Amino acid sequence: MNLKLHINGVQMLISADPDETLLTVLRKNGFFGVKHGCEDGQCGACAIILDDRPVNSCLILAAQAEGHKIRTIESIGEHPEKGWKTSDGLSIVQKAFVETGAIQCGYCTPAQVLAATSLLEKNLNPTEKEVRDVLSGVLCRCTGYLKPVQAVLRAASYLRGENVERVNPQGEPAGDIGPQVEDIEDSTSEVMTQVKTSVLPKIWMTPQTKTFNTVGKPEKKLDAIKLVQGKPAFTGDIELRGILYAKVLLSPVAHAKIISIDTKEAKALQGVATVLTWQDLPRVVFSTAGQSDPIPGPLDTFSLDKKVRFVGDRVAFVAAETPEIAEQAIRLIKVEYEEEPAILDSNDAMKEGAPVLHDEPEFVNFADSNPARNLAAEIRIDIGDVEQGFKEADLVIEGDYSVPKVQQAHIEPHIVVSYWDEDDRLVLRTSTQVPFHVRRVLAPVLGLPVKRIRVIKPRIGGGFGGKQEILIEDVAAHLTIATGRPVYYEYTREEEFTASRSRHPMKVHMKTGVKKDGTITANEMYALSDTGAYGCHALTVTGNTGHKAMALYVGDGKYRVDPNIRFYADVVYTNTPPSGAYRGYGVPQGYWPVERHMEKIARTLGMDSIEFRLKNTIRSGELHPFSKSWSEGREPRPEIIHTVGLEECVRQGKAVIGWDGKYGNQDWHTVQGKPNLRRGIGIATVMQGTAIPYLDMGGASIKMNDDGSFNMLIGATDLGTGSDTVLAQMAAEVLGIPVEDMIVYSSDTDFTPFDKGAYASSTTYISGTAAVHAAQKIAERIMIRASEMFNHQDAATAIAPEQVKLVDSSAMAPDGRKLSFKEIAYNALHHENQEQIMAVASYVSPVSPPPFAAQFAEVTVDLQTGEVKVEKLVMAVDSGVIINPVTASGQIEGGMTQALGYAVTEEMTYNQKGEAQQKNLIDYHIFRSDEMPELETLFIETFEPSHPFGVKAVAEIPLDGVAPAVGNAILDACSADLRDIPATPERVLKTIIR
Amino acid sequence: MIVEYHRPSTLESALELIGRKTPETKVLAGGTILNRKNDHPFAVVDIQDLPLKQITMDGNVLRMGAGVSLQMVIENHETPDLIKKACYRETSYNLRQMSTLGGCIGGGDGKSVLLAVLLAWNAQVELHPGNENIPVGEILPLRQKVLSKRLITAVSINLSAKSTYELVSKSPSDFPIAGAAMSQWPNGRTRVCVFGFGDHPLAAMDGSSSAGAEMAARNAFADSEDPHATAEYREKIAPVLVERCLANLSGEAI
Repeated sequence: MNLKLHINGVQMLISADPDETLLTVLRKNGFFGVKHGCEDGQCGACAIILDDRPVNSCLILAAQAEGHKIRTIESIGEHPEKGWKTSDGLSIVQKAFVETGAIQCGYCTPAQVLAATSLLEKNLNPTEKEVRDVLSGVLCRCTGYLKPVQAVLRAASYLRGENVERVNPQGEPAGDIGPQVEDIEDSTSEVMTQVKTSVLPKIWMTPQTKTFNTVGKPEKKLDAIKLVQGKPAFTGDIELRGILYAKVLLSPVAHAKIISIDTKEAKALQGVATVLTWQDLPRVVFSTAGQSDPIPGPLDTFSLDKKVRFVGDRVAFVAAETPEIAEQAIRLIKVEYEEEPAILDSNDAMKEGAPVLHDEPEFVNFADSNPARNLAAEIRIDIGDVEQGFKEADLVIEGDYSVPKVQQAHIEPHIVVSYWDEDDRLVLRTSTQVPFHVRRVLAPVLGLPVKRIRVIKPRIGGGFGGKQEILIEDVAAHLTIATGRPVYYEYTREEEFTASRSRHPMKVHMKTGVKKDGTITANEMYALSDTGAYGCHALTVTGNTGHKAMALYVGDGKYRVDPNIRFYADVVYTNTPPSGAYRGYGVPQGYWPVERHMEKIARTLGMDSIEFRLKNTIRSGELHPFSKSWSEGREPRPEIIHTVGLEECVRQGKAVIGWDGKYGNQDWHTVQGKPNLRRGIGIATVMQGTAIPYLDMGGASIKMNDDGSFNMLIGATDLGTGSDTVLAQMAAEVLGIPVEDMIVYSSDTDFTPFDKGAYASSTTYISGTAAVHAAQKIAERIMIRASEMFNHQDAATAIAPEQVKLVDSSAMAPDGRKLSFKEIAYNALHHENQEQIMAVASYVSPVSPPPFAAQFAEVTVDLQTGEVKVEKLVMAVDSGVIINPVTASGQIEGGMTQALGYAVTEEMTYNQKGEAQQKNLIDYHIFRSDEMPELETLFIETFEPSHPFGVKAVAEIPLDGVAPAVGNAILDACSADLRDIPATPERVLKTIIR
Repeated sequence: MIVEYHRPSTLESALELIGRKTPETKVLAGGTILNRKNDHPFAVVDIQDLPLKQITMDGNVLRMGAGVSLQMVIENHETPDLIKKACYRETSYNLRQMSTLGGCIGGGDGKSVLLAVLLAWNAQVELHPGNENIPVGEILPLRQKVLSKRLITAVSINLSAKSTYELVSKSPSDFPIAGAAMSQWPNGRTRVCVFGFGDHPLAAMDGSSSAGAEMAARNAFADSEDPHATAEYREKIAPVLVERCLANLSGEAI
């Protein structure tokens, strides 16, 4: 049918099928600011303004929009600099989003901007509640909503003509809380999440931070202007002539041999380009885990196999002219399965006579994996003498705990576009955290040498570990090889739940010996970890459960020197969708049992739980207890921890949440007029890691341009975290330039240096150091050339290179003479002894300095129904020096919000056939803007000596403490000793009754 | 799969299209449910141009057109606060712009707070052809049959009854896993329905007083087991929900 659609002020005649959604039609016509995130309207990434209201275009037929005015992000704002042409610049709403750091991955940003715009066109005085309601239609998995809400309120303030406080007062340190502990008054229940007038978090700064010009400043994200305009920056935002659309037939059964596949009808369907089954592809075993070589886990996966191992496993690939034809073809493939018994409970995996998932002869073991026992990995770590430690204890306390399988739920699904380029090299444009691993791992799978594959990573719409997997790139690549044509493959939201990766669920037993004075004498954990049908990340995720969560409590006195710690784990195969990498990487699974157990021990001993914790936690100058025993399947090397800000985190966090006025205060625990409600407050102390020592490597390349600006090429993959900006800030600090003079490009395996990718909390530390080293080399070249130029000007005064200072994009001589970088660049590129001033550097670290944090939670529990409302989360974090307080606090807020879902709502479950019971964002609820508790972030800086700017990691640690802090707060509220999460009303009520 | 799209401007032409034998023709209101992926071929009749977007009060009777969006319900000054609250609870802001009352009645499931409130209030649903008013409780169990080839044009509620609801959810905006809605008329008549599971809210009781309401609600949850909660849990908290509803209606906070 022909439709007259009024889009962004222009009447367009568009042909569309009756069932085509407005989302499809808009994207087909180049409006790429409208994003796909789901198929049932829950995520809101596809929102547009219809007349004057935000609506989700994935649920409107294009035909329904006829006669209405459609506005997309493309109609709002433009880059403030357009050359000779006058630009109106960004809209006020867009400016506010950029200023407040409301943009992380930017995938949902266009929809949020449109929603905010529609609100402010009607109401210039919105309350916070109204703003949160309007933003409730757009799910954001990155920010925790605090900064988007602040952005809308800030925009309203601008539009009312008010004088709005600047985010970055030049020359002033950002939000220093100084040496005095601040006590914050309790907010009333009338207030929703408190939106502070200041965008910046509170920071306890190191003296060094105050001396920096760019480092430590809330610089705007370098990609913010692009993302806030909804520019076509993501994988799917391209058009290629002759492109085919891929679909994969997924197994409807949990465990079966494929007896036969009949593809005749599917192939005969008009518009089908090819259908591939296991018989068509070379049989190359690999691991989908995106990790460095050698992959620290079993090789147990084929692109297509003659066996299926979970509901959602791959059976056949189709490429067709349209997605609809591809889907139709999928339905025409006839498969005969010979079903085998399935293992759906990890407890059954190693039982005598259990069905074996991996009986393929090509299976490649790693370390102690044993497919005959359904064992993807086995970990046995003994530090000290644990049995002796138990003997020395006055009390041995045991407990069983469990954590669920949960989904990363990045709003941009997995997506890849593949094509042969003009040199017949295979190009994979993909939303990945690990472009270099994709290239290396897929080369043998595709039968191509590495040099004939190019992987391009555009902007990523969230990853959280889900894209540290080589999950779908091979599908598109095989289909491009088979057809010679470009192929587009994108998961649906249902496929994200049924055929993607998730967090390993675990059943954990804790056993801890303590003396009456609270000294831990021995600490033991056994984890039964469920890797699902494939062993991607099996060893390393579960290893980190012990390596990070069991390392925090070493004990006191002599045990500080010789702690007794045991961590055993079995990582088993089951016929459920594979587990994999998810932000926190096994550590949140460890801290639920550890921190719940520590609370239980403290209360059993009658000790203050904070005092008990700090008595036993690791301190600066002590050995990381696991560093001599385990290192991600590689040779361990001893490592001293130099910076531990945990005690200060506890002190400051306590003050901000008002701990002393609440903990143990019976009046505070009751709610006036509501005898069924009880308040509770809880804490969890946590540590993470920063990169993988002796393994994680990052590279950076910097070159100088004519105007004194620089290009920085990095392999590091900014998946919304702001790492491009943070790396640019560090390089800019070295060179004495504003951050906007560092043009960052990431990442492309053809152009950028190698980087292991975005995982293991490594980018700021590892890739950042590489960027600093490259900048230092550049600085050296500039100083040499500047001294020569100074000396050429005045031969009487000899200025040595080391006397030259780089300040304000200039080289300055001791006598006050200045040469601008532009002058130096012109001299180098055009005038004398011509050279390209450029440098490459890489970095691998011998250490992994852990960040630390104290996480606090306040809850209200309904004693009659078990309903839990989390009222407030405060996190005080020692991540070393904070390079950018806005992006870093965004990491903490977003991480706490994801962790909040882990604590109270999120859980993936399967029925008796192994079918997923959560396949959409209705049944799997992630937090919306209108239901958030109050969030507060404090940074307690330490100066980590192993990094040029004192940095430690920030990205993963917020995932670790929320669940146990909430669990401990529930215990505080009503004595319910919850062992399993999420803390659903039913679980909590059962525990209350028990 | 939608194979035909029609947008009639009169009720008569809409009814003519809906009444066709082939292709199967469904009413498209906001589309938030109907437009989700569906392999079955059918035609749609978009009712956006029909005059079904009025909200009026006639004495105690609130009449809302079937094409009224949930957001319009919230923004209308005639709407009682309870219905506004239920609309807020129904879904997020963007979806409320398109979701309609008619769509909620035709497609809402057992987690729908709004549908539960309408059921408790014994709302009357106006259907065409025939201009027939049918209690929502008679439609819900037989929606496919009752609504086949018919168009919901309005929903009416006699506001002489006081109504309330109570629910439990995993987070403040997550769908309810258990809830009770209750209406009480001046003569003591009390209707209770439960929700949070299944295809639609269930009427648990319609009695001359509130006696037996707790037991009725408990019984109505007997077959409510699903991945989100056990029937045992729902039965256990049913009396709590009912007690709270009664307290709300009597003005005594619990």
